[in-house]
Amino acid sequence: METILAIIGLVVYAVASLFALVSLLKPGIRRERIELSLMAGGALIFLAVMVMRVVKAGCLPAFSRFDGLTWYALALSGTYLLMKPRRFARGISGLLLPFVTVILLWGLPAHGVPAGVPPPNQGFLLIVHVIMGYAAYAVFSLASINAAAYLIQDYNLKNKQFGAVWEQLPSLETLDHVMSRLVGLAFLFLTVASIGGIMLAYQSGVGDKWLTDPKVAAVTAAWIFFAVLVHMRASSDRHGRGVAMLTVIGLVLVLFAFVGVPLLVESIHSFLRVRTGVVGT
Amino acid sequence: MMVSVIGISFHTASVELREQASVRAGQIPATLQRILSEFPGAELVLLSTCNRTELYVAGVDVALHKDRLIQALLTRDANEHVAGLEQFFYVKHDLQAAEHLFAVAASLDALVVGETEILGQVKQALVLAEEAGTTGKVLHPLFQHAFKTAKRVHTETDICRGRVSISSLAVEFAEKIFEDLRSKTVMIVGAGEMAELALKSLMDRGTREVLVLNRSLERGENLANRCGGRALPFELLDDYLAKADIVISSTSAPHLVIQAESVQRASETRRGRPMLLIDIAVPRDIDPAASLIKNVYVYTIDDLERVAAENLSKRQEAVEQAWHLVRQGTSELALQFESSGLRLLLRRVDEHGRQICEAALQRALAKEKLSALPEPSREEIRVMAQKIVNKMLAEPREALKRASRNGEWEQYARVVNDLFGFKPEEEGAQKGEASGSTQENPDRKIL
Repeated sequence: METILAIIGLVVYAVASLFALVSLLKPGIRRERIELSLMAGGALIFLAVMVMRVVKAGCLPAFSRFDGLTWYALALSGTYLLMKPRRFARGISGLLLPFVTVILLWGLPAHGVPAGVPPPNQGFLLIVHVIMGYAAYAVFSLASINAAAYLIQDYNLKNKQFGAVWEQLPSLETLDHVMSRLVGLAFLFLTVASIGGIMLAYQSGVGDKWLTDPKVAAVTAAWIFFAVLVHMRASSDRHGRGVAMLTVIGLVLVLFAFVGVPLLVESIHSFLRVRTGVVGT
Repeated sequence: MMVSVIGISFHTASVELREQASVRAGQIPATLQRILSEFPGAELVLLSTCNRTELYVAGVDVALHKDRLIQALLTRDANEHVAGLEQFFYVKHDLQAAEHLFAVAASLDALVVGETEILGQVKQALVLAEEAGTTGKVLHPLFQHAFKTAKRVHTETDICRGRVSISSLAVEFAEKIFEDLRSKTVMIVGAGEMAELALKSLMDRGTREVLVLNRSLERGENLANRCGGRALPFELLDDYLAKADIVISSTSAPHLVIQAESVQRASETRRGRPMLLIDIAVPRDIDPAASLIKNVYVYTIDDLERVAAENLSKRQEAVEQAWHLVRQGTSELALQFESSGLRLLLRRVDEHGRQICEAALQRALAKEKLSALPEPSREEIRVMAQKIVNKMLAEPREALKRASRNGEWEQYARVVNDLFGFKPEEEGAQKGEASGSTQENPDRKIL
């Protein structure tokens, strides 16, 4: 049942991506509504799958490739759907939905693998650590997608390409503001996740080992990167293409910390690799 | 449907003549009241823009009273009359009038196809007519239908996609760079006419501050006074460049006025905040190298004209599809009016049959031979008589419904009125009901 639902969810996301790409090239209110409905539908289907896995595992399933990537995709979709009515975010889904679909497609083959072995402590701290971590990854990824849209719009304006994409994407300033707020929010989430992780390490008897953990090092690098971006906006008042390019580069750093490190090296987060090969906070 | 439009537009008259015929928004309610006093019970909406002055009328036989209506329309305060324009007026009736209104609201019947400003003007015309109390149940639904059709045309076709005038394109570019023009500063370099037009369009969006720099400070001050801005000596151009979010340059200088180095310095001061530079001058005022600077967007008159031409061409491609929607809207409206007219006519026919039946029964039952009949027998006769009448009317009823479905409603309605001998007053009342009007008018005729 879970497998069938996950496949249906993926197909719904794929169709939504198709609509989003067509909407980007040929704007239409009806197409945009269908695309949003499909996105919400796909998210609900995957949420149902995750609820079924929670019931089956008896704990928060976030320790396999499927679980990790699905929570990430759901957090991305959820943030966008929450943002959509409040901000002028037209055209962004044309970049976001294909990205989310690829993430889900990557996770799906690992669906049959058991939810993973949870670490010994399943208390409140772990939940805060995991949820805030996923929220930070998702919100920062969305900021990077906004930044990519900024660079596309900047290219269009600079090169006088006044086609459908130019028409569909929001103004540069709008993208700049959204990007800035999302980076600030992601920084906050990652800070909370990191503090939660440190406390969890001491509580579960990992001790100081976390200090030399590769995953922690990668996340710390991402945290410093976020801090620099937040500082550039808050104190130095920097805007424009340069900041957008840095934000896009930040996505590479986030994805490396999120999926790259657990794939490549052993760490205290190695339970994430149990039989599945990846991912967690 | 008994709706007409009588008007003058860019199709029939030059701008000088249209100016004479136009009625200012403030005078429209009084003008409508004056016309209403001449045609009591009429419904009126007056649309007056720079391209047209049109009076939409319901409840008046415009073919009969065309001259009086034009005269009333051209009469100004204190009975002053604008003469010599009568020959430029056109008249359209019923579905043609409705289709005309739909095309106007959808900006198909326009000097520049697809300019959405007209829809707001049509809405304003209806509001003014409502304030004057000259709309009713004919013109109000007609205009609502026009708004609905215009919205469909605007959303389902490319007719409004892209701006087509230089000044509106300046706004469009600004809106693709800045989130909210209300917090932006516009700098005008050189007080040219086209720059002023572009500035006006930007100011309509509520730009915060206007800086005017002109070689002749006096001329600059004139423009600054007209637009509520600040005139600055031309020499301060470089100093103020960083303060401007949008720069529109249109001097007649034979050399570059804004150097790339100045723009570079301004951009650095702005810490990456975008700058929009629009160069309307020929030869160019802004150093082309400025377009290579990060976060600076430079457009010349050629760029604007190219985009305007492309947008206009896209709009023309959508015209046919837009007309299809307008015709569809007109048919829907006709159907709406017809079905409401059909219901009332059928009710009228039934009522007519019932009255004949009742009168005949009363006469017959009053006669000596039948007066002694017991009540059950009387009731049986009554039911039988009603059944006969219903049977006789069944076929005409079906024929009317078929005619309505086949678009032959008007001819059939006329024939039914003749056959059943409905009097003009009854027709007028029926028409009033059919169209929803509560006002009686001897000029009215049935659909």
